[in-house]
Amino acid sequence: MKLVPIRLNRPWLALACLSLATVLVPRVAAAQSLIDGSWNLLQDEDTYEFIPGLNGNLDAGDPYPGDFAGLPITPAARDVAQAFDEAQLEIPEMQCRAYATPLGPRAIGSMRIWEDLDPHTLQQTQIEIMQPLVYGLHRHIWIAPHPYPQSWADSSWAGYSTGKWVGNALWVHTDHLKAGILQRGSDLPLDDQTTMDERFFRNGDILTDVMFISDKQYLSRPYVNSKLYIFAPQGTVIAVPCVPFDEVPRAEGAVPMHVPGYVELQGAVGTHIPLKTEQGGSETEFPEYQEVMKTLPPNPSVDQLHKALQKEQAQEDQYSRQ
Amino acid sequence: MRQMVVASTMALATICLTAGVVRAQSADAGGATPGGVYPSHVNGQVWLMAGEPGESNVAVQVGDDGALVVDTGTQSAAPKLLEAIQGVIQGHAGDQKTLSVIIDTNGRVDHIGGNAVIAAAGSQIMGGHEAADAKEFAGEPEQAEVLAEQSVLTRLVQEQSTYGQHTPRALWPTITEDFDIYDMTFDGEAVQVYHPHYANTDGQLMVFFRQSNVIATGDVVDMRTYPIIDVARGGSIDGELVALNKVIELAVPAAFAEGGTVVIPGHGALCDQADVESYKNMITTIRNRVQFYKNEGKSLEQVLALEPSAGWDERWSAASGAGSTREFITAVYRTLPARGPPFSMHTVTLVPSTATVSGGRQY
Repeated sequence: MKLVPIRLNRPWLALACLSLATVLVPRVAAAQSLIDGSWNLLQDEDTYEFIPGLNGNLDAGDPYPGDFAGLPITPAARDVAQAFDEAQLEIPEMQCRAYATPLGPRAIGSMRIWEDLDPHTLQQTQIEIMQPLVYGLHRHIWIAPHPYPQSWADSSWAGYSTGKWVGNALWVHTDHLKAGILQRGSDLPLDDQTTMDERFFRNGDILTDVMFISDKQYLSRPYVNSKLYIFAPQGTVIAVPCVPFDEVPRAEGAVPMHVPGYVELQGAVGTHIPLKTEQGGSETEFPEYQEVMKTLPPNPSVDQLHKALQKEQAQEDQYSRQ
Repeated sequence: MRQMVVASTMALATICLTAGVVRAQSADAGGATPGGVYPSHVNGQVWLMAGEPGESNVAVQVGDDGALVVDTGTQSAAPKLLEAIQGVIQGHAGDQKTLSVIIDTNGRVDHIGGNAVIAAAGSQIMGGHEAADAKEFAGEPEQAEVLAEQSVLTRLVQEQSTYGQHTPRALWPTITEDFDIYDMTFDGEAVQVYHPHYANTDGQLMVFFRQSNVIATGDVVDMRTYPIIDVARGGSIDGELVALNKVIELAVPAAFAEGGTVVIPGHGALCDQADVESYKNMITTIRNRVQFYKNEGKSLEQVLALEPSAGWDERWSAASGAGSTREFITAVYRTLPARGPPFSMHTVTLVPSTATVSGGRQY
């Protein structure tokens, strides 16, 4: 490496002073206004998993039911997901649920971020995030000390979040959540003991949210995901109210479900990913797994898979008619 | 744009490498210690005696007429519970600082254990002061009345005479009736007591405080484990699901299916309609899987080996006893017909279809 000598002339001294001032000015004060404003999700990651649409149609988005590839899920998560019939979401009480915090920031939609200040000290007390398009997710990230919910207190979709600034990054921890889902479409569950850690940081007009989702029951290791948002100075956040209604006539108390032994095959039909890989697990997260996939037996033909699906459906229909 | 994305990625990598996953700020659990009783305001006139005195939740409604208590925990926790209830009465009741009514949601010892201590501290004033004076004149002790469904008392008597199981008489309810819905007005509020036949027991009750917008469900909802279905006391899985669907019907959520009507479960944290809906969906799914196996002629041991609740057990199974996977699946299996369809309210045959309304009692 070649070192270039610097002469301490006036421009260099000014630059040095400016740098020193940048270091000495309280970093917190600078960081507090870093992420305020409206942000639009950049649809360049996992779009297939988060744009609502017709299941089974790649163009419309949503993962296929039964497609768990690339997710560090446990066998328990797979069991629950295989028993879950997406028609459950048609039950009126299920229709207007907000996306819980572990899903909301990864889902489609804009978000508005604003800070609340202590009127006397002008220090940040909390940061609020509103994402109306994911059914009203409204988060409060407490920066100032705030009472933690008692163990008997009700949980919420947003959960209880605390945050602190580390340099220009906002670190957030969230717990006290309601049970939710890891992804739409794939029906993978998250437990009510789920926690999420995040790092928000901004570079120019890009805001990054890195999420570490932990659930000892349904994830074998923290699920790490990141989302990029672009600054939207005009603000595009609109309120989206939700009113439930009877979408599909169904006997009161009936809960759509799959019978034991049902294996969701739509993913294999749609993606041609090996059936074993569709089962997911942490090993399927990594690039090296592509070598393993080459050793797996080919899937049955699409016709055979369709026939297997029809057989499973017939079995369920027969049970319903008991 | 590409530069920005690259910069973001580099910053991400730096933070991930140097930071790891750490908690931003330690949480304060509120200083509650096991064994304590912590009065916590729920909504309107209703309080939760938090800390689960005797491992079950106790609800207290306090207002101008004094206090109405739902369940009394265990016998050993009763003195602390009484102290906590008296504190709430002193602080929040009107002129009538009395403990007038106790409602037992079922006859299990973790719900009626404090009956004697709590009732003895109460003052029953039915029909106004004249009635109270008359009782005093007659030499009857002044105490709170203990209301339960008729089956609770019947079973307590049966258990004593048939099996020699001795639940002290002091813990028995003092007023029992056979009803589907028991209406009363207390503290100026409509209080409706529902009897979802054959739920956790055949004497299971749920108490709906209409103005306060709170439902005390007893063991119908359990936010710690699978529901305790006491088959020996007339409990059944379909009755339990009828009761859960009733809670969901009564509860009205606020925006985005959250909050609104507060549900006080028999055990565990406060919850709302969304939590009960998730719980009900899970229980219904497990019930239907057991029925599916039973339709195939499988025995109880075969069904247990097939693990129909796999995926939920780690969160919802108690370590042992009632609420454990084995006990729950056994109760489900034993109370389902040999052959039947998936659950819906139309398939239930255990519950009488005509509701009788009782009560109308004014306090």
